[in-house]
Amino acid sequence: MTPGDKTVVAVILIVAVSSAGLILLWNNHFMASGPVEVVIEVDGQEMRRGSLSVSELGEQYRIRGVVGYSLLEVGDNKIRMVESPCPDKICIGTGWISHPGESIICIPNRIIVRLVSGVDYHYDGLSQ
Amino acid sequence: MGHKKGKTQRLLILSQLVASGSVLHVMESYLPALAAMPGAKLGLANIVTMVTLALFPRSDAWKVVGLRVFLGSLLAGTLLSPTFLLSAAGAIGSVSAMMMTLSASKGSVSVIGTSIIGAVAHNTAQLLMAIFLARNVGLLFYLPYLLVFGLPTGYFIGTVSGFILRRFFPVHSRLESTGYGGDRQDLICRCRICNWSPQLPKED
Repeated sequence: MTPGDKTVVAVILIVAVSSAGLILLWNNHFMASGPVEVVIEVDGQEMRRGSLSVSELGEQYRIRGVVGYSLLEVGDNKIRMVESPCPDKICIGTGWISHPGESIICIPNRIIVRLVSGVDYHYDGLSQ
Repeated sequence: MGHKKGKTQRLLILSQLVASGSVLHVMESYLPALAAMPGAKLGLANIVTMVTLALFPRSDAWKVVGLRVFLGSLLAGTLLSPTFLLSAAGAIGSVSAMMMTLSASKGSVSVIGTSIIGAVAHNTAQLLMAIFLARNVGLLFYLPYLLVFGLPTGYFIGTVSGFILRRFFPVHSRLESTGYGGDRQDLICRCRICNWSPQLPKED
């Protein structure tokens, strides 16, 4: 490799690292301000889906699970479980969740509360 | 080859390059895709692009690459499909970038650096086309991976191209004088693409 080749490699590495950094920054900013959707599943079935940012502060949802009723509470762009008929109360112990990818899971009552990003990224077969 | 060689020889070599490029293009489509990194390929057909660029004028390189993409896609059965558009975008991107490198670097970047730039430009152009086709800017997240992946593949392709150039085309049209060397004050000629230099007769 000539010195010119090494310059080429160095420039490409610098561009790659800086673009990765920029994308990460942009992504974080985007995720923080983008819409977050709440998906509530009971026993594997999707029962409810709604935007977290639109929901009113302090709004509560009563969800009928397999064992009994669970109570969810919406805060300032976050959500938590406040009441559950399950014995271990792990779901209540999870506390507030606010970022896409986070979830509250109650195994005994078969309730899953997931947060997903409101924007879909399709990685599909086009990139063959 | 040199401009003094016959038209027929030039035509034969160009045809040979188109044929090799088409076969490599088809062979590449049979290679298994990396599940972890869609779009990351070896770029075997770029060997032919590199060799053509080193030996022939720009217009010939465009002809060879255009015919290679057309014939290769026809044989692989992807003609006018999204895959074809992706190959075409990648080929146009890599050829333009390699041409610019060759004319701008004035010999300081060898065949390896040129083909690294070609591989990176190929990946970038392909990604831009994928973003256009899928109407999805989110694919841009792949850019850093594809840039870094272009380094080893470009290095490999450049090494192979340099080997082919040295082995099969020892008489180069782009030999350039690099200066005077030794006691004999002979003009040292060196190919600015592959660094090949003719054997000077030894002094008794």
